[in-house]
Amino acid sequence: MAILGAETLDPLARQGKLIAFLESQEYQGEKLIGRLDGWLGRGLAFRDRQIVAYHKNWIYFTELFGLEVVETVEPKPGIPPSARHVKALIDHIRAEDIQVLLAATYFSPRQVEAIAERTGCRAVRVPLGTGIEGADDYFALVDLWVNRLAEAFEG
Amino acid sequence: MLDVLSFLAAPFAACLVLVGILGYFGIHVLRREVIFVDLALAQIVAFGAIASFLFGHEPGSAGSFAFGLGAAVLDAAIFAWTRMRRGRVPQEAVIGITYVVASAATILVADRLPEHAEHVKELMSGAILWVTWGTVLRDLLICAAVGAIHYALRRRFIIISEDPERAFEDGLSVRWWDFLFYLTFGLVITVAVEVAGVLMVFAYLVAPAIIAIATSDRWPRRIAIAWAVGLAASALGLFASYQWDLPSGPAIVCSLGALLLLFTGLRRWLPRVDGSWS
Repeated sequence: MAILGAETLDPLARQGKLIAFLESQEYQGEKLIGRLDGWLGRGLAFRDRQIVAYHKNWIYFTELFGLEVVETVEPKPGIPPSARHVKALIDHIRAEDIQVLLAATYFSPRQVEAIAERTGCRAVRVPLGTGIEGADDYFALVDLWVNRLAEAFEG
Repeated sequence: MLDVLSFLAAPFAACLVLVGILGYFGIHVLRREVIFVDLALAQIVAFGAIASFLFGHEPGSAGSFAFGLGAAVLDAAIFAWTRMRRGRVPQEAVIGITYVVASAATILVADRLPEHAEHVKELMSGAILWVTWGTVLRDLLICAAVGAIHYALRRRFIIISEDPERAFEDGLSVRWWDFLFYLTFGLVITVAVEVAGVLMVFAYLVAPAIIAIATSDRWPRRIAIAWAVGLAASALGLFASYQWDLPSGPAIVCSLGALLLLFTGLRRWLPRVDGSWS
Protein backbone atom coordinates (compact mmCIF):
# COMPACT_ATOMS: atom_id res chain seq x y z
CA MET A 1 0.00 0.00 0.00
CA ALA A 2 2.84 2.36 0.89
CA ILE A 3 4.64 1.61 -2.38
CA LEU A 4 1.78 1.64 -4.91
CA GLY A 5 -1.17 3.30 -3.14
CA ALA A 6 -4.77 2.22 -2.85
CA GLU A 7 -5.76 3.84 -6.16
CA THR A 8 -3.55 1.33 -7.99
CA LEU A 9 -4.14 -1.75 -5.84
CA ASP A 10 -7.91 -1.47 -5.42
CA PRO A 11 -8.91 -1.73 -9.13
CA LEU A 12 -6.45 -4.60 -9.61
CA ALA A 13 -7.94 -6.46 -6.65
CA ARG A 14 -11.48 -5.90 -7.92
CA GLN A 15 -10.55 -7.26 -11.34
CA GLY A 16 -8.86 -10.29 -9.76
CA LYS A 17 -5.50 -9.28 -11.22
CA LEU A 18 -3.72 -8.07 -8.09
CA ILE A 19 -1.84 -11.24 -7.20
CA ALA A 20 -0.64 -11.86 -10.79
CA PHE A 21 0.47 -8.21 -10.96
CA LEU A 22 2.42 -8.41 -7.69
CA GLU A 23 4.03 -11.67 -8.75
CA SER A 24 5.15 -10.12 -12.06
CA GLN A 25 6.59 -6.88 -10.64
CA GLU A 26 9.76 -6.29 -8.64
CA TYR A 27 10.77 -3.57 -6.21
CA GLN A 28 14.34 -3.17 -4.93
CA GLY A 29 15.26 -6.56 -6.39
CA GLU A 30 12.44 -8.42 -4.68
CA LYS A 31 9.08 -9.54 -6.05
CA LEU A 32 6.28 -7.31 -4.84
CA ILE A 33 4.22 -10.30 -3.73
CA GLY A 34 6.70 -10.72 -0.87
CA ARG A 35 5.64 -7.34 0.42
CA LEU A 36 1.93 -8.08 0.39
CA ASP A 37 0.66 -7.70 3.94
CA GLY A 38 -2.70 -7.52 5.72
CA TRP A 39 -5.66 -9.77 4.91
CA LEU A 40 -4.58 -10.54 1.35
CA GLY A 41 -1.04 -11.30 2.54
CA ARG A 42 -2.30 -13.67 5.23
CA GLY A 43 -4.72 -15.08 2.64
CA LEU A 44 -1.84 -16.30 0.45
CA ALA A 45 -1.88 -19.37 2.74
CA PHE A 46 -5.11 -20.46 1.05
CA ARG A 47 -5.07 -18.71 -2.33
CA ASP A 48 -5.92 -21.03 -5.26
CA ARG A 49 -6.92 -23.80 -2.84
CA GLN A 50 -10.15 -25.77 -3.07
CA ILE A 51 -12.72 -25.88 -0.28
CA VAL A 52 -16.21 -27.19 0.35
CA ALA A 53 -18.70 -24.68 1.77
CA TYR A 54 -21.83 -25.53 3.72
CA HIS A 55 -23.84 -23.08 1.70
CA LYS A 56 -23.33 -20.40 -0.99
CA ASN A 57 -22.51 -17.77 1.63
CA TRP A 58 -19.02 -16.78 0.65
CA ILE A 59 -19.03 -15.65 -3.00
CA TYR A 60 -17.43 -12.19 -2.57
CA PHE A 61 -14.92 -13.41 -0.03
CA THR A 62 -13.82 -16.44 -2.03
CA GLU A 63 -13.52 -14.42 -5.25
CA LEU A 64 -11.31 -11.80 -3.63
CA PHE A 65 -9.13 -14.33 -1.85
CA GLY A 66 -8.89 -16.77 -4.77
CA LEU A 67 -10.56 -19.70 -3.03
CA GLU A 68 -12.41 -22.21 -5.17
CA VAL A 69 -15.65 -23.56 -3.67
CA VAL A 70 -15.93 -26.91 -5.44
CA GLU A 71 -19.09 -28.16 -3.71
CA THR A 72 -21.70 -27.15 -1.15
CA VAL A 73 -23.29 -29.31 1.56
CA GLU A 74 -26.72 -27.73 1.14
CA PRO A 75 -27.14 -26.77 -2.52
CA LYS A 76 -30.71 -25.46 -2.16
CA PRO A 77 -31.34 -22.92 0.61
CA GLY A 78 -33.62 -24.27 3.31
CA ILE A 79 -33.92 -27.76 1.79
CA PRO A 80 -31.99 -30.54 3.54
CA PRO A 81 -29.59 -32.33 1.18
CA SER A 82 -30.43 -35.76 -0.23
CA ALA A 83 -28.62 -38.98 0.66
CA ARG A 84 -27.22 -39.10 -2.89
CA HIS A 85 -25.82 -35.57 -2.62
CA VAL A 86 -24.17 -36.17 0.76
CA LYS A 87 -22.65 -39.46 -0.42
CA ALA A 88 -21.31 -37.80 -3.61
CA LEU A 89 -19.97 -34.90 -1.53
CA ILE A 90 -18.09 -37.21 0.83
CA ASP A 91 -16.67 -39.18 -2.11
CA HIS A 92 -15.60 -35.92 -3.79
CA ILE A 93 -13.84 -34.59 -0.69
CA ARG A 94 -11.95 -37.86 -0.31
CA ALA A 95 -11.06 -38.23 -4.00
CA GLU A 96 -9.83 -34.65 -4.40
CA ASP A 97 -8.26 -34.54 -0.93
CA ILE A 98 -10.09 -31.31 -0.08
CA GLN A 99 -8.79 -30.13 3.24
CA VAL A 100 -11.27 -27.56 4.49
CA LEU A 101 -15.02 -27.33 4.95
CA LEU A 102 -16.12 -23.75 5.57
CA ALA A 103 -19.44 -23.18 7.33
CA ALA A 104 -21.23 -20.29 8.98
CA THR A 105 -21.81 -20.94 12.68
CA TYR A 106 -25.57 -20.58 12.35
CA PHE A 107 -25.66 -23.95 10.63
CA SER A 108 -25.72 -26.97 12.89
CA PRO A 109 -22.25 -28.13 13.98
CA ARG A 110 -23.53 -31.70 13.75
CA GLN A 111 -23.60 -31.81 9.94
CA VAL A 112 -20.29 -30.03 9.59
CA GLU A 113 -18.54 -32.26 12.12
CA ALA A 114 -20.10 -35.40 10.64
CA ILE A 115 -18.55 -34.62 7.25
CA ALA A 116 -15.21 -33.68 8.80
CA GLU A 117 -15.23 -36.94 10.77
CA ARG A 118 -16.03 -39.07 7.73
CA THR A 119 -13.58 -37.42 5.35
CA GLY A 120 -10.72 -36.18 7.54
CA CYS A 121 -11.07 -32.59 6.27
CA ARG A 122 -10.94 -29.73 8.76
CA ALA A 123 -14.15 -27.93 9.67
CA VAL A 124 -13.84 -24.13 9.87
CA ARG A 125 -16.94 -22.71 11.51
CA VAL A 126 -17.01 -18.92 11.64
CA PRO A 127 -19.78 -16.35 12.10
CA LEU A 128 -21.16 -14.90 8.90
CA GLY A 129 -21.99 -11.52 10.41
CA THR A 130 -20.93 -9.24 13.23
CA GLY A 131 -22.46 -9.16 16.70
CA ILE A 132 -21.08 -12.55 17.71
CA GLU A 133 -18.35 -12.86 20.32
CA GLY A 134 -14.97 -12.50 18.62
CA ALA A 135 -16.47 -10.61 15.68
CA ASP A 136 -17.64 -7.35 17.21
CA ASP A 137 -17.11 -5.33 14.04
CA TYR A 138 -16.50 -6.05 10.38
CA PHE A 139 -12.71 -5.81 10.67
CA ALA A 140 -12.65 -8.35 13.50
CA LEU A 141 -14.97 -10.58 11.46
CA VAL A 142 -12.70 -10.63 8.40
CA ASP A 143 -9.67 -11.10 10.69
CA LEU A 144 -11.43 -14.17 12.04
CA TRP A 145 -12.28 -15.60 8.59
CA VAL A 146 -8.78 -15.06 7.22
CA ASN A 147 -6.91 -16.32 10.28
CA ARG A 148 -9.08 -19.40 10.81
CA LEU A 149 -8.81 -20.40 7.16
CA ALA A 150 -5.05 -19.80 7.07
CA GLU A 151 -4.60 -21.86 10.27
CA ALA A 152 -6.67 -24.68 8.80
CA PHE A 153 -4.58 -24.85 5.63
CA GLU A 154 -1.31 -24.51 7.54
CA GLY A 155 -2.37 -27.57 9.54
CA MET B 1 -23.34 -50.50 -4.00
CA LEU B 2 -21.62 -51.71 -0.86
CA ASP B 3 -20.35 -48.21 -0.07
CA VAL B 4 -23.88 -46.80 -0.50
CA LEU B 5 -25.22 -49.35 1.99
CA SER B 6 -22.38 -48.57 4.34
CA PHE B 7 -23.14 -44.84 4.05
CA LEU B 8 -26.84 -45.40 4.80
CA ALA B 9 -26.28 -47.98 7.56
CA ALA B 10 -26.22 -45.57 10.53
CA PRO B 11 -29.30 -43.56 9.39
CA PHE B 12 -31.19 -46.81 8.74
CA ALA B 13 -30.20 -48.21 12.14
CA ALA B 14 -31.41 -44.95 13.76
CA CYS B 15 -34.71 -45.34 11.88
CA LEU B 16 -35.09 -48.89 13.20
CA VAL B 17 -34.54 -47.76 16.80
CA LEU B 18 -37.17 -45.06 16.36
CA VAL B 19 -39.60 -47.43 14.63
CA GLY B 20 -39.15 -49.90 17.49
CA ILE B 21 -40.25 -47.51 20.20
CA LEU B 22 -42.48 -45.04 18.30
CA GLY B 23 -44.44 -47.86 16.63
CA TYR B 24 -45.39 -49.03 20.11
CA PHE B 25 -46.17 -45.59 21.57
CA GLY B 26 -48.22 -44.68 18.48
CA ILE B 27 -50.72 -47.43 19.28
CA HIS B 28 -51.18 -46.04 22.79
CA VAL B 29 -51.60 -42.51 21.47
CA LEU B 30 -54.24 -43.56 18.95
CA ARG B 31 -56.15 -45.68 21.46
CA ARG B 32 -56.11 -42.80 23.97
CA GLU B 33 -57.39 -40.51 21.20
CA VAL B 34 -54.78 -37.90 22.00
CA ILE B 35 -53.31 -37.90 18.48
CA PHE B 36 -51.67 -34.52 18.71
CA VAL B 37 -50.01 -35.19 22.06
CA ASP B 38 -46.91 -36.36 20.22
CA LEU B 39 -46.79 -33.24 18.09
CA ALA B 40 -47.22 -31.09 21.21
CA LEU B 41 -44.52 -33.03 23.09
CA ALA B 42 -42.17 -32.94 20.10
CA GLN B 43 -42.69 -29.19 19.73
CA ILE B 44 -42.10 -28.52 23.43
CA VAL B 45 -38.89 -30.59 23.29
CA ALA B 46 -37.85 -28.51 20.26
CA PHE B 47 -38.62 -25.37 22.29
CA GLY B 48 -36.46 -26.66 25.17
CA ALA B 49 -33.58 -27.38 22.80
CA ILE B 50 -33.80 -23.93 21.18
CA ALA B 51 -34.07 -22.26 24.60
CA SER B 52 -30.81 -23.98 25.64
CA PHE B 53 -28.99 -21.98 22.94
CA LEU B 54 -29.79 -18.82 24.94
CA PHE B 55 -27.57 -20.26 27.67
CA GLY B 56 -24.71 -21.02 25.32
CA HIS B 57 -25.36 -24.71 24.64
CA GLU B 58 -24.61 -26.02 21.16
CA PRO B 59 -27.13 -28.01 19.09
CA GLY B 60 -26.83 -31.73 19.81
CA SER B 61 -24.93 -31.11 23.08
CA ALA B 62 -25.73 -32.64 26.47
CA GLY B 63 -26.99 -29.23 27.65
CA SER B 64 -29.41 -28.95 24.75
CA PHE B 65 -30.61 -32.52 25.41
CA ALA B 66 -31.14 -31.73 29.12
CA PHE B 67 -33.22 -28.63 28.30
CA GLY B 68 -35.35 -30.62 25.86
CA LEU B 69 -35.87 -33.34 28.44
CA GLY B 70 -36.71 -30.80 31.15
CA ALA B 71 -39.38 -29.30 28.90
CA ALA B 72 -40.75 -32.79 28.21
CA VAL B 73 -40.99 -33.63 31.94
CA LEU B 74 -42.88 -30.40 32.58
CA ASP B 75 -45.21 -31.21 29.71
CA ALA B 76 -45.73 -34.75 31.00
CA ALA B 77 -46.90 -33.29 34.32
CA ILE B 78 -49.30 -30.92 32.50
CA PHE B 79 -50.82 -33.71 30.39
CA ALA B 80 -51.19 -36.05 33.38
CA TRP B 81 -52.70 -33.32 35.56
CA THR B 82 -55.21 -32.13 32.94
CA ARG B 83 -56.63 -35.60 32.33
CA MET B 84 -60.12 -35.60 33.86
CA ARG B 85 -62.39 -38.60 34.28
CA ARG B 86 -65.43 -36.59 33.29
CA GLY B 87 -64.01 -33.25 32.30
CA ARG B 88 -65.98 -30.61 30.44
CA VAL B 89 -62.94 -29.50 28.49
CA PRO B 90 -61.53 -32.19 26.19
CA GLN B 91 -57.86 -32.91 26.81
CA GLU B 92 -57.23 -32.41 23.09
CA ALA B 93 -57.80 -28.68 23.71
CA VAL B 94 -54.96 -28.59 26.26
CA ILE B 95 -52.75 -30.56 23.87
CA GLY B 96 -53.56 -28.24 20.96
CA ILE B 97 -52.86 -25.05 22.89
CA THR B 98 -49.61 -26.56 24.24
CA TYR B 99 -48.48 -27.19 20.68
CA VAL B 100 -49.38 -23.71 19.47
CA VAL B 101 -47.81 -21.92 22.46
CA ALA B 102 -44.64 -24.05 22.21
CA SER B 103 -44.38 -23.21 18.50
CA ALA B 104 -44.86 -19.49 19.13
CA ALA B 105 -42.39 -19.53 22.05
CA THR B 106 -39.82 -21.25 19.82
CA ILE B 107 -40.10 -18.38 17.33
CA LEU B 108 -39.80 -15.81 20.15
CA VAL B 109 -36.63 -17.50 21.46
CA ALA B 110 -35.17 -17.83 17.96
CA ASP B 111 -35.76 -14.09 17.51
CA ARG B 112 -33.52 -13.41 20.53
CA LEU B 113 -30.67 -15.55 19.23
CA PRO B 114 -28.03 -13.93 17.04
CA GLU B 115 -27.69 -17.24 15.23
CA HIS B 116 -29.40 -20.64 15.38
CA ALA B 117 -32.65 -19.69 13.62
CA GLU B 118 -31.53 -22.39 11.18
CA HIS B 119 -31.95 -24.95 13.97
CA VAL B 120 -35.68 -24.27 14.13
CA LYS B 121 -35.82 -25.66 10.60
CA GLU B 122 -33.58 -28.58 11.53
CA LEU B 123 -35.77 -29.50 14.50
CA MET B 124 -38.69 -29.73 12.10
CA SER B 125 -37.12 -31.72 9.27
CA GLY B 126 -34.51 -33.60 11.31
CA ALA B 127 -30.98 -34.65 10.54
CA ILE B 128 -31.30 -38.39 10.09
CA LEU B 129 -28.53 -38.52 7.46
CA TRP B 130 -26.02 -37.05 9.88
CA VAL B 131 -26.58 -39.45 12.75
CA THR B 132 -23.45 -41.14 14.12
CA TRP B 133 -23.13 -44.69 15.49
CA GLY B 134 -22.55 -43.22 18.95
CA THR B 135 -25.96 -41.50 18.84
CA VAL B 136 -27.62 -44.66 17.49
CA LEU B 137 -26.22 -46.65 20.43
CA ARG B 138 -27.27 -44.01 22.98
CA ASP B 139 -30.80 -43.89 21.56
CA LEU B 140 -30.99 -47.69 21.45
CA LEU B 141 -30.10 -47.93 25.16
CA ILE B 142 -32.61 -45.23 26.16
CA CYS B 143 -35.41 -46.70 24.02
CA ALA B 144 -34.66 -50.24 25.23
CA ALA B 145 -34.85 -49.07 28.85
CA VAL B 146 -38.20 -47.34 28.21
CA GLY B 147 -39.40 -50.44 26.35
CA ALA B 148 -38.43 -52.64 29.30
CA ILE B 149 -40.36 -50.40 31.75
CA HIS B 150 -43.43 -50.53 29.52
CA TYR B 151 -43.17 -54.28 29.08
CA ALA B 152 -42.98 -54.78 32.84
CA LEU B 153 -45.99 -52.50 33.45
CA ARG B 154 -47.84 -53.31 30.24
CA ARG B 155 -51.16 -54.38 31.80
CA ARG B 156 -51.69 -51.05 33.54
CA PHE B 157 -50.60 -48.92 30.58
CA ILE B 158 -52.76 -50.92 28.17
CA ILE B 159 -55.88 -50.86 30.32
CA ILE B 160 -55.60 -47.08 30.76
CA SER B 161 -55.20 -46.62 27.00
CA GLU B 162 -57.93 -49.09 26.00
CA ASP B 163 -60.52 -48.66 28.73
CA PRO B 164 -59.80 -45.75 31.09
CA GLU B 165 -63.22 -46.05 32.73
CA ARG B 166 -62.36 -49.59 33.84
CA ALA B 167 -58.98 -48.39 35.07
CA PHE B 168 -60.71 -45.77 37.27
CA GLU B 169 -63.19 -48.38 38.53
CA ASP B 170 -60.35 -50.77 39.35
CA GLY B 171 -58.90 -48.07 41.58
CA LEU B 172 -55.81 -47.39 39.51
CA SER B 173 -54.20 -44.02 40.12
CA VAL B 174 -54.66 -43.03 36.50
CA ARG B 175 -53.07 -39.61 36.96
CA TRP B 176 -49.82 -41.06 38.29
CA TRP B 177 -49.75 -43.78 35.64
CA ASP B 178 -50.37 -41.12 33.04
CA PHE B 179 -47.50 -39.11 34.44
CA LEU B 180 -45.18 -42.13 34.13
CA PHE B 181 -46.51 -42.77 30.63
CA TYR B 182 -45.92 -39.21 29.44
CA LEU B 183 -42.57 -39.04 31.26
CA THR B 184 -41.23 -42.09 29.39
CA PHE B 185 -42.90 -40.90 26.20
CA GLY B 186 -41.26 -37.48 26.63
CA LEU B 187 -37.85 -39.12 27.05
CA VAL B 188 -38.37 -41.06 23.81
CA ILE B 189 -39.60 -37.95 22.00
CA THR B 190 -36.55 -36.00 23.20
CA VAL B 191 -34.10 -38.44 21.61
CA ALA B 192 -36.30 -38.92 18.54
CA VAL B 193 -36.76 -35.21 17.75
CA GLU B 194 -33.02 -34.61 18.01
CA VAL B 195 -32.37 -37.22 15.34
CA ALA B 196 -35.48 -37.22 13.18
CA GLY B 197 -37.25 -33.89 13.67
CA VAL B 198 -40.85 -33.12 14.59
CA LEU B 199 -42.45 -34.15 11.27
CA MET B 200 -40.81 -37.56 11.02
CA VAL B 201 -41.50 -38.38 14.68
CA PHE B 202 -45.19 -37.61 14.22
CA ALA B 203 -45.36 -39.71 11.04
CA TYR B 204 -43.55 -42.66 12.69
CA LEU B 205 -46.01 -42.54 15.59
CA VAL B 206 -49.24 -42.21 13.69
CA ALA B 207 -49.03 -43.93 10.27
CA PRO B 208 -47.85 -47.40 11.41
CA ALA B 209 -50.27 -47.30 14.36
CA ILE B 210 -53.28 -46.58 12.11
CA ILE B 211 -52.50 -49.63 9.97
CA ALA B 212 -51.77 -51.76 13.05
CA ILE B 213 -55.00 -50.86 14.87
CA ALA B 214 -57.09 -51.28 11.71
CA THR B 215 -55.62 -54.74 11.20
CA SER B 216 -55.68 -56.31 14.65
CA ASP B 217 -57.00 -55.93 18.19
CA ARG B 218 -54.13 -57.83 19.75
CA TRP B 219 -51.29 -55.72 21.06
CA PRO B 220 -48.39 -58.03 20.12
CA ARG B 221 -49.72 -58.25 16.54
CA ARG B 222 -50.33 -54.52 16.38
CA ILE B 223 -46.78 -53.83 17.50
CA ALA B 224 -45.39 -56.31 14.95
CA ILE B 225 -47.46 -54.71 12.16
CA ALA B 226 -46.39 -51.18 13.19
CA TRP B 227 -42.76 -52.31 13.17
CA ALA B 228 -43.12 -53.89 9.72
CA VAL B 229 -44.74 -50.73 8.30
CA GLY B 230 -42.10 -48.47 9.88
CA LEU B 231 -39.27 -50.67 8.66
CA ALA B 232 -40.65 -50.78 5.09
CA ALA B 233 -41.19 -46.99 5.00
CA SER B 234 -37.68 -46.31 6.35
CA ALA B 235 -36.07 -48.55 3.73
CA LEU B 236 -38.26 -47.09 0.98
CA GLY B 237 -37.63 -43.49 2.07
CA LEU B 238 -33.86 -43.86 2.32
CA PHE B 239 -33.78 -45.70 -1.00
CA ALA B 240 -35.85 -42.93 -2.65
CA SER B 241 -33.63 -40.27 -1.07
CA TYR B 242 -30.58 -41.87 -2.67
CA GLN B 243 -32.13 -42.99 -5.93
CA TRP B 244 -34.04 -39.81 -6.80
CA ASP B 245 -31.93 -37.24 -4.97
CA LEU B 246 -34.56 -36.29 -2.38
CA PRO B 247 -34.19 -34.93 1.19
CA SER B 248 -34.19 -38.01 3.45
CA GLY B 249 -36.53 -37.02 6.30
CA PRO B 250 -39.36 -35.80 4.05
CA ALA B 251 -38.84 -38.86 1.79
CA ILE B 252 -39.41 -41.18 4.78
CA VAL B 253 -42.48 -39.19 5.91
CA CYS B 254 -43.96 -39.41 2.40
CA SER B 255 -43.17 -43.14 2.24
CA LEU B 256 -45.18 -43.61 5.45
CA GLY B 257 -48.01 -41.61 3.88
CA ALA B 258 -47.80 -43.70 0.69
CA LEU B 259 -47.96 -46.98 2.64
CA LEU B 260 -50.96 -45.70 4.57
CA LEU B 261 -52.68 -44.72 1.32
CA LEU B 262 -51.87 -48.09 -0.20
CA PHE B 263 -53.24 -49.84 2.90
CA THR B 264 -56.45 -47.80 2.72
CA GLY B 265 -56.88 -48.74 -0.94
CA LEU B 266 -56.22 -52.45 -0.37
CA ARG B 267 -57.90 -52.71 3.00
CA ARG B 268 -60.99 -54.62 1.87
CA TRP B 269 -58.79 -57.40 0.52
CA LEU B 270 -56.47 -57.57 3.52
CA PRO B 271 -57.19 -59.96 6.43
CA ARG B 272 -58.14 -58.59 9.82
CA VAL B 273 -57.28 -60.72 12.79
CA ASP B 274 -59.58 -60.05 15.71
CA GLY B 275 -58.91 -61.07 19.24
CA SER B 276 -58.48 -59.84 22.76
CA TRP B 277 -56.33 -56.73 23.20
CA SER B 278 -55.05 -57.81 26.60
